[in-house]
Amino acid sequence: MSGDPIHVLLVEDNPGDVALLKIMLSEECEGRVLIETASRIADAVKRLEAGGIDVVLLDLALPDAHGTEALVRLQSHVSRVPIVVQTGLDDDEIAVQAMQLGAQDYITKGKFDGRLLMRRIRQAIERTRTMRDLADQRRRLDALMENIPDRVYFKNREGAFIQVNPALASLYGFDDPRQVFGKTDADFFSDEHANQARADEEDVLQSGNPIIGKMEKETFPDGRTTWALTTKMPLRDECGAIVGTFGVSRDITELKTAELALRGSEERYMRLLDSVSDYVYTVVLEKGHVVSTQHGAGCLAVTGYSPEEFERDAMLWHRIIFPDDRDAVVNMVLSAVQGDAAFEIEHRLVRKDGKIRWIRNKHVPRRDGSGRIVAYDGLMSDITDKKRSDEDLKTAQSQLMQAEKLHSIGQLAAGVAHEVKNPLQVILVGLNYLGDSPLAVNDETRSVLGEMRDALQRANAVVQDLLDFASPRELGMQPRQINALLEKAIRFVRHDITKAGVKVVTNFAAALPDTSVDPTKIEQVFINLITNACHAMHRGGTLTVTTRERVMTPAESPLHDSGDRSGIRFRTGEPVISIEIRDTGTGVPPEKLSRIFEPFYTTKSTGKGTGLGLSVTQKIIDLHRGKISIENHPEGGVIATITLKAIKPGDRAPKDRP
Amino acid sequence: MSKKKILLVDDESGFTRLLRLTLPAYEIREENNPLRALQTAREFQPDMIFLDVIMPEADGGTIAAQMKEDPALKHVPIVFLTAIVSPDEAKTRHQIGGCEFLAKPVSRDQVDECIRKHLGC
Repeated sequence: MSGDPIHVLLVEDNPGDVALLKIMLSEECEGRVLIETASRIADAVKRLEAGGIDVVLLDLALPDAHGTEALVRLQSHVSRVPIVVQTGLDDDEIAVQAMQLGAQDYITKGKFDGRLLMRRIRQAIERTRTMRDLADQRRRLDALMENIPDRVYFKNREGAFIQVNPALASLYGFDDPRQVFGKTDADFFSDEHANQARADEEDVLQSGNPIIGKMEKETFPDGRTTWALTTKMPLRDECGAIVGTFGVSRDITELKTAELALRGSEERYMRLLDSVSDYVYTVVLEKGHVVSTQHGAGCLAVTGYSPEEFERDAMLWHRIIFPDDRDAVVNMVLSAVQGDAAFEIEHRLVRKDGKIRWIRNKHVPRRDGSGRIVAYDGLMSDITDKKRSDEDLKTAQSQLMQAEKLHSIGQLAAGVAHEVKNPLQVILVGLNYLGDSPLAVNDETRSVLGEMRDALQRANAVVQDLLDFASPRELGMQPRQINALLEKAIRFVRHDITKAGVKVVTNFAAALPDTSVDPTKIEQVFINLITNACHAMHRGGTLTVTTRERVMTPAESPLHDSGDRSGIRFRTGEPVISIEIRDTGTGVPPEKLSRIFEPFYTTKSTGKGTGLGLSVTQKIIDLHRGKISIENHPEGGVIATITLKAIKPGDRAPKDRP
Repeated sequence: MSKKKILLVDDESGFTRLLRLTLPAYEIREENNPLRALQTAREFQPDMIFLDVIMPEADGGTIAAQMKEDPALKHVPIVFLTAIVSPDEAKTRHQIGGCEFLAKPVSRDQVDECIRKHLGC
């Protein structure tokens, strides 16, 4: 204000006084005072309403208003401009009245000079401005306290509220903040929260350091819980001594609830993501060429690779397809690019962790308005579990069918055996009878009878094989030496071996561990295989029988989804005994190799085999939980390999001999 | 010394007749009607009995059980003849009633051997 001139409105009807005051002021302040005059209250009001007046110098004796009335009229129009009144010589009473009505000051006519007048004017302006500022400040503070939704309080050193805002009062259930004065946190909260809050206050009182932005869980005696973000500050008096605390706290219950809900939903999302088995991708095309690929949620879950890894490595999608299935998938992609209608395939995928999974891969072309293909959307679903259960179901079904088939075959076999063997019995004894008769002295007759007996034995063997095949029986397991059983079997078919001119070579491992077997059944297996070998070498050859002890290798353990279910019987590292029976005969045509274990399937000419020998053999090995394979040897002939569990030293056989 | 007496119970008369003809060293009685088997055994008082297992109207097992309850027959050895039991199974069931099984078709020599074994002749 020092630079700007002071605008003074002189309200005075006496021209002499006006002139005098002007002279006094201009002498004192040399152009820093601009004086305007009004001789009537109505003029003064008009001028004040126009603005720009800093102070009014008011004579209380005016023609249109007398005494303090003039003051009241002016103030009702302009309350913010300070008014200094001039009173007559002995009008102290009026002066006091004027001050009570809001005049800033008064001067007594004839008792002041320019200097005094100017000081009073300046003081009046200054005081008014200060009061106005204070009032503004107070109003702003009140507005803040009254309206802010945050809770504001002031407490004394004892923790009692000395001032609170309506937001805080309403939290405690009061309409009027004054109702809260004198109370403490203990009157509203549970002890747990009140004690903690009091401890925090003590800290602030002691240290003088504020606690800023502390998250507080507020619990009420009725069990209700709210969350607040609180700042506590020390309250100081004019000398700086701490006389209490004050603070602001914001209700963040909704935020906190939302946060907890968000965290819960994130957790649910993560759990969901873990179980995701579907993965959506989009391949964007331009003129039949792939321009970009978008990988959706589930990419990581299904393939083990992140979308970024796919983006970095353009051929990754191809490499992760199981090699045998790549052609099929590539064909699908080609047809997708050409815009063929949607179709799906099932293929295997090698995940990043090396696991092989079955995937159903389906795509749908996306076209623009003119029908041109612009992209295709794909859905990959991991169907490994479903596939596995399907396979289990299939296996169970086929086992059931097999069991039913065997049951029927069993009944059929028993019926056939009875009806065939009884006539064979008559024929056999008949042949015995004829052999005793005088007719049989003739060599030719004897040879005819011999051939008839052979034919009869063959017929009997067919029925016997059928019976053996069809009637599942319990095994009489005993710990035995495989080498000894093989020797016995070789002796048993010595006649066939000699007849075929076959040389027998045995490579038996010394000191083989015992094997738990049904000796009769295993003998039958060896006899079947050796007989087959002899039949394959009817013009001579070498039969090599080899035994050895070894342990199962990981490569032989069941491969994931390899379909080799027989492998499940053995565990890696388990001691086993291998028996190889190899001939140097004609071998089995490759296309027939896969069928040789089927019942009634035979590669032999009529009369040489029933087609049941290998079925029975396989069944016996299955019952022993062993493994048999028959393959053509690279150097010719057939090699049959049987694998049986060895009895580990120290183990007792499941059923020891009594 | 009188011939050993053998009872053959089998509904197949061709078999019993031919077996009788090929084993002249024994006195053989044929019974082709299983329902009369027990009665015939009591009358004939055989030294040994061959019993078919599967016959119409009566099975060998039941007939054997009845014979084993007859004081006059219970010590007579019985050998079952059966078409549908394989030899190794016969072994496992060897102990049933102390009876042996022979799988059909049996030759005259097998039967002879079996008789000699049981009768010690």
